[in-house]
Amino acid sequence: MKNMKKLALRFVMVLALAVVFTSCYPGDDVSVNDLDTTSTFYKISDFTTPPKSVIIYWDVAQLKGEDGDDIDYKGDIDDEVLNTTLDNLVALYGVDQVYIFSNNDQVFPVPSNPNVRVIKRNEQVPPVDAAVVPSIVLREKTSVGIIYPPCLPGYWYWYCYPPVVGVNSYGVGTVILAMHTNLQSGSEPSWTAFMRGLLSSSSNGSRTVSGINKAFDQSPYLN
Amino acid sequence: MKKIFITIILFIGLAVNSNAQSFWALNWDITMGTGETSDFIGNVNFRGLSFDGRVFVNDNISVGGQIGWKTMYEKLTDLPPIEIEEDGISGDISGTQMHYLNVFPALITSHYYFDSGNVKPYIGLGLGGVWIEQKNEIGLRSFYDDSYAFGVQPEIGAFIPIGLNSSGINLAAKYLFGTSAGDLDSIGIFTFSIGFAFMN
Repeated sequence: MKNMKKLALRFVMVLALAVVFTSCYPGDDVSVNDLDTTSTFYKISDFTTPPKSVIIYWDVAQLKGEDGDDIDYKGDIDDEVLNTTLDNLVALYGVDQVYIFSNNDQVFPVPSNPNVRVIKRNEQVPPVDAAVVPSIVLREKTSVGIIYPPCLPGYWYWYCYPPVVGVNSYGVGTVILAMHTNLQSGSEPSWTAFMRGLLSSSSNGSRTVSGINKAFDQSPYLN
Repeated sequence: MKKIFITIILFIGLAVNSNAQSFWALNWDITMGTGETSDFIGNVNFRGLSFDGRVFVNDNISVGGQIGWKTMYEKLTDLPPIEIEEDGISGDISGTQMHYLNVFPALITSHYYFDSGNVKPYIGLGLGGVWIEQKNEIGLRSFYDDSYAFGVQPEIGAFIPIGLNSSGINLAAKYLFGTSAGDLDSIGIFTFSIGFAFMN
């Protein structure tokens, strides 16, 4: 009887150890970078005839929520956002079919491709099939629930973001690229890319470049 | 699944109160997916646990039950984007994916033991239900599915006595097959079990 009790005790101890061992939830080694995602959403009907020429708005507008949880953006990754997007557009449509629109007389950051024609606000905008508008959301914390970004006034038209399909929260940092193929005022984008998960760290630049490249890689219908 | 658990518990209760020879084992399960399961999680996982209870109907044959919990996980990078479609808008999401699989088999088992001295090699077969939870996390987004499938599990193993009150080591190799159910594909999991066991 005594031996049986010892045996039972040993059995329970092994069971307890096993349960503790098994109850550890895996995935503890997830780094911040592992939470980065690149999401692209598109209306395929808008790309049955893909655009042949495109203009990029040379500014990264900050979209803010209404709850005051936004962090001011000081243009830290403008260079990476704009020039990586420019490089991808040139690769897609060719340098002669890509234009930069600048609201400022001094074009900053300096375009990575000097052969791309810059249109300033006092110049006539050439006829193009699409416009790309970059923007950024910087939040103190991840917001659960859909944020409806406001419509933003552009120089030659204004544009709106649709309710964000498939992305029900913004992380602390999200770079957004919106491509409009309908250039009427108030149009919603035909293609929207969300590079989500950027933080205020030294690796933001390389992560932005990587995210934007991935967005174009996973969108073969753009041309 | 609830009915199967109740059946197993009743069965164990009856076995404990009877004078029949019985076998009990608590096993650490090391698992590896095969087929479509290995496409989802391809590495070896070390987080598994199973409990065996068997009653001998004669010197060579036992019947009993087995319940278990196998937790499988793999972090995957550079996978193709996940395609989604909502409200007529198509989308692709890419990023590091965390794949999780929790499998809870509850099986009625039968085993045949070979006569070979103290060490008792055996073969067995389990039939019953398998609760499967599958989760794919990408960023802060999660794709979750669960289902209850029919499961079959052939098994080969051996009980090795270590001389204390018929206690010993249980070694076993099992292959659990769960049928496709709901939105989930069929599963195939190879398991190597090592556990503490005793016969009385």
